[in-house]
Amino acid sequence: MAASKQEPVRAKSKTREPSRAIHARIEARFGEGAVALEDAVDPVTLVRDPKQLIEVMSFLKTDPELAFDFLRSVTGTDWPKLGSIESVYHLYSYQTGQAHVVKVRVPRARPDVPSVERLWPTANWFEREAFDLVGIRYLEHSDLRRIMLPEDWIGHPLRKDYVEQPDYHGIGTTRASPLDAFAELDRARRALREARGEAPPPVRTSPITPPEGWVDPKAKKAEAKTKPASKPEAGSDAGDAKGDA
Amino acid sequence: MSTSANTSTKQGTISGSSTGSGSSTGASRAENSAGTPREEHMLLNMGPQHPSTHGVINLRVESDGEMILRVTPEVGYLHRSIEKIAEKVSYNGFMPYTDRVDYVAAMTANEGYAMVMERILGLVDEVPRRAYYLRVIASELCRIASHHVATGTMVMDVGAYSPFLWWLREREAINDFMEALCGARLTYNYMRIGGVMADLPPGFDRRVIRWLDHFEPSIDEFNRAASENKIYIERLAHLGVVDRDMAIAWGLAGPNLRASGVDFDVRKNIPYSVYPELEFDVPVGRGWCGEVGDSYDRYYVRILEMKESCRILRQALEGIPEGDTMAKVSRKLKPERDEAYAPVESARGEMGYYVVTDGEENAYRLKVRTGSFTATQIMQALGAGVLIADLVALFASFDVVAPELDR
Repeated sequence: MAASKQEPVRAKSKTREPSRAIHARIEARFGEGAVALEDAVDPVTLVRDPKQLIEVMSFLKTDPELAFDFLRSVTGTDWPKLGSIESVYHLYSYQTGQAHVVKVRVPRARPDVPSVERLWPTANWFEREAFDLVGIRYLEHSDLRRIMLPEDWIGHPLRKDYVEQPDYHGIGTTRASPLDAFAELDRARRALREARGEAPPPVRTSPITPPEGWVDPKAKKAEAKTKPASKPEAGSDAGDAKGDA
Repeated sequence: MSTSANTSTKQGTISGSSTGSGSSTGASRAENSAGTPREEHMLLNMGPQHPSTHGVINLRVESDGEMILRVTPEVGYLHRSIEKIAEKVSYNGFMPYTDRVDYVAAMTANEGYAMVMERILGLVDEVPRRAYYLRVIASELCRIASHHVATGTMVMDVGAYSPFLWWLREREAINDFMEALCGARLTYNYMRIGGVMADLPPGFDRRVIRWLDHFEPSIDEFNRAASENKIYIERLAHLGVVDRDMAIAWGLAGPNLRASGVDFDVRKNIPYSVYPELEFDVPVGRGWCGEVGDSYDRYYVRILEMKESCRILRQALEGIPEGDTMAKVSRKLKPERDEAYAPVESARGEMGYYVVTDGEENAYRLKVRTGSFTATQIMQALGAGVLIADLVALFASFDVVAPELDR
């Protein structure tokens, strides 16, 4: 494992400029205080005030130079360190071929975000999913129910502090590893054997004879390691012995 | 929904009192069709275990006799919390899970995840060209196999069984190619962040070309048997029409979107991999047998896409350059705080991975945007006014794959 050295950060692909231009247009419309640019591979426009989200989004949809008619996805990210939850919107325009990301940040204690369902009907299920898994409450959503999990599930699993319930209607959510049962069986057998004073059973090996000239790679590796110290035939001998037994 | 809980008993009493005979539901239906005012609607659960739902999906249908008033898809039966798993396993360790996002076209699911990580790590230009070509070959084979299932099961849902078996026979050949390529027949785990796992096995290109020579004429054979069948056309034409604006507003993607007349393909419009070097057309719905955006268009776009994939395959196998199949990528990935979204053209449309990284060995947040999700959602807008018998064909035309929908 040559993993101690971390990969150097290389030049990112040159996709940031169009997003910056889009952000500049939003900023020109709503003022510098309303939105902020966050740098990433796909730069993000952060709408500072969640109440202004609908206004910004309908501008993005209706402005002739932006014309974002396709809402690719709505999702959420939980940031307990910042005490906030993000609602993330990925937009694409079939008319201009541009893409952009918009975010809004709300406190974790009151994660209320206005719904964009009336701008893009497809937001309906995306917002239901973000509500279900991240726990963002979309205001004025037509049908804000859980979508993936059952109605009576407790908690929102994609929150960072989510603790799974031990069981759901009597069905356990965890189970012991089946390997533990085998280990337990082994221990019981050994104890019984020792109590009776029996010898351990012979080790079973594969009945398949290896082809002529085959060398056990494990033995080969061990041989390479100990080459300067011990005699070279040790590895292949071990391999043959294993095969013949 | 609550109104329909005890439909059959109530209708039984209504018909019983009015005619003085039969107390069964069948009798009440006959009475209703004779003109008695209907007071109750019927609630029909299609699924979660129903052969036509192609997986575990429940369509709750509220109907008035045969006429559907409302369809409410209830999903989540196949939710395996893959997005949560992504936060627990390493970046490279997540690759096998992407197979399970969409196991009918697992290659494109692999490719999307590899691409988003390459964007974040700045590796896009460093992936060897041979690896990109191998990805194209694998993805297009997989797209054909997925459309085999989509069109074959659709024909089967409408009532013809043999064409489905023909397609499964062809799909078997692709499964064999995949097995030769990466050792697996369904969940491939073939692509890697920075390249692909293995090079072509000897003789692979010759075998694929030979199969293509056989397969391309068999599309016409399939068309003669199914696509041009009068009964089949009449079942699908003018059914569930989605116009251009509706398709965009509801976020349809891929073949479903193109059937509605939107000329958009991620491979063409947001070029990735080596697709700009390859020549192919994007089939768009034309209302071949009915109007633009009906179920037949959604079906036939997929048939044409298979032909285009064959064209791409021939070019890619011809023009594949020599070279490495992996970029130099360290085994442990720890990208800094960053985020990216990368779309690929999956067999079910735009499949997008959104990844947030924060300098750890596993993703801080990962979201998969899939075509099946929006395709199932639109059923609530399309279901009203459709006959129950047509619902099966309508739903099949969207080619929803349940695991991709629920993730």
